[in-house]
Amino acid sequence: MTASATPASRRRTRSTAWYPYVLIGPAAALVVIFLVYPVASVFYYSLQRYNVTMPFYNGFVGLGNFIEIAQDAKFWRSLGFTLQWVVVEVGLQFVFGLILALLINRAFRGRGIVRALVFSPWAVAGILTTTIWLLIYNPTTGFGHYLADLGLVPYGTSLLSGSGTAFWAAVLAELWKGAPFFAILILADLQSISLELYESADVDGAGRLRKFVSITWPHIRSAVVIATLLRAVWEFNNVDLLYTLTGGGPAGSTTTLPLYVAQTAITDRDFGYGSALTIVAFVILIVFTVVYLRANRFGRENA
Amino acid sequence: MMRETPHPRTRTRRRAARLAVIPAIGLTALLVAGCATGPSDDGVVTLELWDTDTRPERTANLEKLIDMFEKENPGIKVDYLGLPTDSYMQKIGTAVATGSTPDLVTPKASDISALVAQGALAPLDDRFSAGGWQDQIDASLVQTTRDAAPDGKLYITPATALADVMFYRADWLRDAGLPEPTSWDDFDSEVAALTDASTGRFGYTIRGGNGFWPQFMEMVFTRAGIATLFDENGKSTLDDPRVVEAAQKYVDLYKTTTAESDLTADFKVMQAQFAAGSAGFLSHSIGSYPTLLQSMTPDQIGVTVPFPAEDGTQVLGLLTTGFAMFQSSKHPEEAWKFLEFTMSQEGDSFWAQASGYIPGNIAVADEQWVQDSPALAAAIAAGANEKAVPMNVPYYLPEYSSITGTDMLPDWQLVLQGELSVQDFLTKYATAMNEAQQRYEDATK
Amino acid sequence: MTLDTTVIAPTASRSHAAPRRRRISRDRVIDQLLLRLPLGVALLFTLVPFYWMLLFAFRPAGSTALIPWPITLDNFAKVWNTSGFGIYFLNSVYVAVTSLVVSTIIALLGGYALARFEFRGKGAFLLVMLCTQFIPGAMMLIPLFQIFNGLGLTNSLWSLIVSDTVFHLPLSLVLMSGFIRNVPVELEEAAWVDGCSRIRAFRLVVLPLLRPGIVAVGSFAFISAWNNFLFAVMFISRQDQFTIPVGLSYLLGEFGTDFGALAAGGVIAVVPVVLVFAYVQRFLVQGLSAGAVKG
Repeated sequence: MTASATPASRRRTRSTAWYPYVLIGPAAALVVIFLVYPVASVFYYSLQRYNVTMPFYNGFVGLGNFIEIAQDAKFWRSLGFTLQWVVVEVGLQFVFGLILALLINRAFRGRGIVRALVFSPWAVAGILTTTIWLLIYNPTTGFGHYLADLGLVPYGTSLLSGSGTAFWAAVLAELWKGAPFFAILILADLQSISLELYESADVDGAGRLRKFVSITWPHIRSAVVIATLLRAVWEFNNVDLLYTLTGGGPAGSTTTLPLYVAQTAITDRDFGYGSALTIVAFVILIVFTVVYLRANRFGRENA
Repeated sequence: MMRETPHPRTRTRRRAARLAVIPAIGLTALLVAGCATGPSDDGVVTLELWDTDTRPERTANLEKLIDMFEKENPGIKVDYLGLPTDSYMQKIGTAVATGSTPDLVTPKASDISALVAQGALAPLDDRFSAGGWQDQIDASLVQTTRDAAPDGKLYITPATALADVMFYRADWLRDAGLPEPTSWDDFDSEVAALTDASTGRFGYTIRGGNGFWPQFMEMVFTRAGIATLFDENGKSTLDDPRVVEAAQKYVDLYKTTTAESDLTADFKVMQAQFAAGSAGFLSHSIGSYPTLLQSMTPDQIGVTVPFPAEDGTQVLGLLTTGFAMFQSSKHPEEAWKFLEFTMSQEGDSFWAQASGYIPGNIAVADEQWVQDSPALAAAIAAGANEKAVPMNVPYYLPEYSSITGTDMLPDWQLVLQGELSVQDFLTKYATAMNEAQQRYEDATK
Repeated sequence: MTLDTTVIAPTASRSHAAPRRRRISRDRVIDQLLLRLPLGVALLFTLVPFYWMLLFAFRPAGSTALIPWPITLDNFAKVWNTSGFGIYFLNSVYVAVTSLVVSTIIALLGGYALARFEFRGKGAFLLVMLCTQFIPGAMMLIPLFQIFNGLGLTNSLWSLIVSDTVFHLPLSLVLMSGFIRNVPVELEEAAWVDGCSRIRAFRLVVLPLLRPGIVAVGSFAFISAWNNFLFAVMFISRQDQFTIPVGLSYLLGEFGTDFGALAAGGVIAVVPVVLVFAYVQRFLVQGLSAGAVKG
């Protein structure tokens, strides 16, 4: 597939052994300085009952929070929904992003403008994305009102207020914002595919699909794999959209685990339980990441 | 490339050194560049004020209030910081935990309990009585502010308050030949009469979403005539039969006289509906009257307090919203001066009028503008009713906000959807409230 | 649908396709349809929400027309003057640009190491980087604040620059290493053989080919810093140091929602980024120079 760490570096191993360490130095230093203590503090609080508004209750509870989590129906429900949300959202974003990148990769008049426009939802702040889509879904100011004027739907209804439809409403809004991420990445990656590969494939009489499968896909695969992972983690952890658009409702039907964490730790100020939930999510994500990377043979970069 | 080539190892060492310089400089720049040295005072005391409900109009008003104060107190400056409405508690909590609190803040009575539990606010009782303020401020406002604190002390200035009211489209009523509503029967028949789903007009807009509980209390407990969430025996009144009955009538409004989308409606949605002409009645508080006036004319909006119950009891929803100072403030005297200014006739008159609040200063209550505002006139007239009882809300209970905010909301939406009965809903949470109250009493014995 | 990266305009192929004209033109119609239809749909999907925002920004309050006519600039005036958006804008630019530069440099360094070297602790380093993404920033506010306090960074825009960089670093690093890996190491080796030092080889050979990658990674970092709300609210306590997302949040509250002002604020927040994006996206494509890579 693509060239990577090679014999050339081995030839210089002795004298340049500390090269990589110096290079990753700044990144490692930043993480160590700024994240080790905060992450450790989350672990610490997960073993406490800690609520600043009820100081009389605060104290060490060991694994008590985790036992409570195991019996917490809200937790399991939110976990299930999170899986649904991440799979659907990231899947759709990837598919749409890929199609978009392939489309934009071609030459056509006005390509530059189209590119700029199509990528721009990514540039919109989270708070704005939710506001725009709230306006769209709002029964008074949104599409619903104008559709009702046309008699297509009854007045005073909104996608956001149905237990089933709220999910898709949120998916659509997040898809709008997230697909460009994949598109940008894949497009940048497509640029490094040698034209000659396609030309020789043409000479061999390869069709479109064949060219995609044998040339394009292998080349972008590693970028896609990692982008999907990072995007999945991001969608897992990102509560802004759901918090503002659906509030986790109606009736708790769109509550992800991190949203549950936010409600617990921040709104209810039950920081101990919220930290424990965060740790559970953390473990889930680590396991997922390791399994995912192994399954995609990411360790072997010379795939 | 023509130069004397030194020994390879030296070369690579030099290269590595050169290489290492970049990240080293970068890191140092990052860590050092941010060191800011603050300005020093020289004689002028600077207070920091954090606002918890920042909006463009309110900011302008607050800065004007600050200007007025600074003119009368030349040695004191007040720096303003606006916190977003949705995240101010988090910011204050972070500040308390890291010892970086300001001097002044603008909490509502419902915030007091959480802030006091963190040891954030300074009690004002001694200064309040030393300044003779108990004679200048309405006693009921002082009392309800004290009741909101876990220890019954005064923590915020009780000089401005919000009141629960109902807004309605006076022009729609006139067009339909209906009288101004004065009773629950009027309300029930009029919202039904005003509803015409086929043209997108609904009689009412119900708060099914975030923050539903204050409106629930406003519409249900007033109809039931019950002014407290815990009765004299300390038991929750949520499953009192009168409350259940009134709640059923409230729930029945959904979908018959309201839009289906109200299931997830928060204030933004409700206000949009009311202002855009999709809803005839809106329950909220007088604080939103100035906002409504931005997109509607005064003759379009009628204001009334929720109606008395069958036995004549008029339950009033009041929420003081004032100014407070932090326990850790380095300038408590100057901070108190500011608080005094906001309670004085000059300060209170300006602030209450600009924000649309009920003024607590007795002298201000007699001013003309108070009578001229329909919202305030309605609230004050209701308060003058001898059967008027202010709603006693257990803000002091630490779990109150998490129960009524986070826990109840999904179940409330199930009730609206018809998946959970009103009785079951209220019984479940009566139990929750009782248990929370018990835990609180056990812990604070 | 052909997936080749040709930059030859479609019309040019007509000249040497004459003998097989009929088959070509039917093929090409389908081809163009397969291109333009999905693209049109994508454009529609992308633009309608933007249009909705523009509608509210330029429409007078209370109007429900679908086209904002007459156009009013009241909302913008309100937002710019009363909300102090001017300062927030400058702060946002400062924070975002600096984060972009710092992030990209660190990502280049670290990404090169990840792409070209096998070293002990590489896997662990990568895992730790990824792990930092697994805990939401909101759960770490107090310890982060304490660290910034200790370093004297609170009440300075640098607290935002640092936190934005730190939280965005794993993504930047991993993406950049992927882009670097796409550049065949043979090119660098050829330069080494010619006597270039590693740094020089990188600068002359790899960097030019990395342009799309740098643009992609840089714009992600810029946008992430530009749009960050949580850290901006929590780490800054001076009104004149707030950024645009905080300014926007003032327009959304319990007692007042002015959709027009909010939309106007949104336009102010979005237009600069979209414009920068429009300029910069050109560099996301290499064009013919990609062909310089020969086996």
